[in-house]
Amino acid sequence: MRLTVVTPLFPPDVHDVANYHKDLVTRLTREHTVTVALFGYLPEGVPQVLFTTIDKRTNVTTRLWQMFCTLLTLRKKTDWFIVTNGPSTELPALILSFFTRTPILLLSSDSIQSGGVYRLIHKLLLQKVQATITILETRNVLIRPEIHPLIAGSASALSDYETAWANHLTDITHLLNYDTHH
Amino acid sequence: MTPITSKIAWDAYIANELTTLSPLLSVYGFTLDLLQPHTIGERFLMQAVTTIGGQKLILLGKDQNSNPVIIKATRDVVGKNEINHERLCRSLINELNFAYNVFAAPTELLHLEEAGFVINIQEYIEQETTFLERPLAEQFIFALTAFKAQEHSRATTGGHVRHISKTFGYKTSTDYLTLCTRFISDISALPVLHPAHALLKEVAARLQSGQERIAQYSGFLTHTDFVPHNFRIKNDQLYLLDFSAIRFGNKHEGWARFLNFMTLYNPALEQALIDYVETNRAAEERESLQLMRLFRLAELITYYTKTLGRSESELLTLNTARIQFWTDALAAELHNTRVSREIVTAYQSTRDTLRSDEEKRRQQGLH
Repeated sequence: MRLTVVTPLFPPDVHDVANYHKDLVTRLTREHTVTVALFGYLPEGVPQVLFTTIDKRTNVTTRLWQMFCTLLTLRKKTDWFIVTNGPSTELPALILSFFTRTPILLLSSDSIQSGGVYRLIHKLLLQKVQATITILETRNVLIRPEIHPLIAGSASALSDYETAWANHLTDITHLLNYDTHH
Repeated sequence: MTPITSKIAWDAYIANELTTLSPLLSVYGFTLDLLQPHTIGERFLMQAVTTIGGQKLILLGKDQNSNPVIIKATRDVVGKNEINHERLCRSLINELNFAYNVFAAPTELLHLEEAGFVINIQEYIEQETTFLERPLAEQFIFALTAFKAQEHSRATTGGHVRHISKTFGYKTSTDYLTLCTRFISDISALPVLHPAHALLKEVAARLQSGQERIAQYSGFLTHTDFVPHNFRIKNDQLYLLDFSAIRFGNKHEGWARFLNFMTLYNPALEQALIDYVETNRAAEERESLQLMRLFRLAELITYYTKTLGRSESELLTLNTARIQFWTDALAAELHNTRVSREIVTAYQSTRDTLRSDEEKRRQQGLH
């Protein structure tokens, strides 16, 4: 399947959500052709993944427009958009949903803390997307435990992390396959 | 003020400033200690290479309850700007929410401009033990926690951080290359056949070809002089003593300074931090770290080259040995290896023989 992951954060951004996306993309690449559309500059590379970046240093209107145009261009090469929640990704995805029948999976990685406008965008997008998935409960365990050379780590942490990812990918694959066939 | 270039002139400057300062401080209930370790030894040689460092005194004193205090004072215009800028940085860092629990600052007790002086007095942080006397695992955790805290602030995200980055300063990948090119000309005082000439040119070539890698990890908050004598630890809380070296730039600039320092003082910690990066971070990040280490080593060689004209007799021999040692370290780092323990031990032995008694006193408990 050809997947386009849309995210506001990706390493070298320092954030759990950024690390999660690098892991997600790396793992999805084993089964799928993956493109990443992200807000950022010089992301850390992942073999076989094509990156399209939109510089965060441009003004908000410009970068939202650029993201919309990027997604519009990518829609013909995409079987599924996986859009991470956040105003900067959801607004372009919402507008895109009026121009394409390419399905969207909305991935909630962060709780919604912003005010009314974003809530409205989120609500409208929820009506347009074909599937949703959340990692709000499991985000911590989906972040790779660090290995410290001088400090013994928890033996189970790494296996918990791998198990969590196996389950998470099963859930995603199930959603993509189910909704593709229905 | 003209830079003070000789030990005799520095000692005269200190004596004069202390005589003027002492009665001024007593009005506010502060007294100066008889021994001032931060004014002796090689202190007179210290001039920053990459910034225009002013002259300022860092003095020990007591408040009226005999509590120890640190007094920073100067009549030098550049030194005054430095003290005021550091004060501004200290207050702004608290606006970065990541730093609340990681970087504490000693309490400011007094700040005033009087009789031509800028004077800033802060509480003295007593620490149970020096950083290097702590167990290795503790050193590792303190260092890693501090570096992670710095990494959480990036000037390309969030308008507020972008705004305050102007105060701290912002270094781009081009700036690193420009500075390195300057280092090459700054070491022209070294003998023509000194290996540092060729090595610094190689560093510049590496920085040139690694511009994208340096840019990739730029825009981060980094403390460019994060070494044990610039922080103290009390009750497991790290207190930063020098806020003037905080800026936005490549996030490994601070890491690099710390690792280069540990090459000499604690190679086990240096290796543990490298292992951590190689195990937990992207390969690109490891490359960026190496490029910054090369840059900082080139800077260090330049720094000591600049001291040669102001050094004589044993100090001149020592600074020449320092240039050779850091050149050896740079040669190793260019091959992504560490300088051998034999070279480190031989250098330490030379250094300890050549250091003056005053400098040895200044070094006590410093790291």
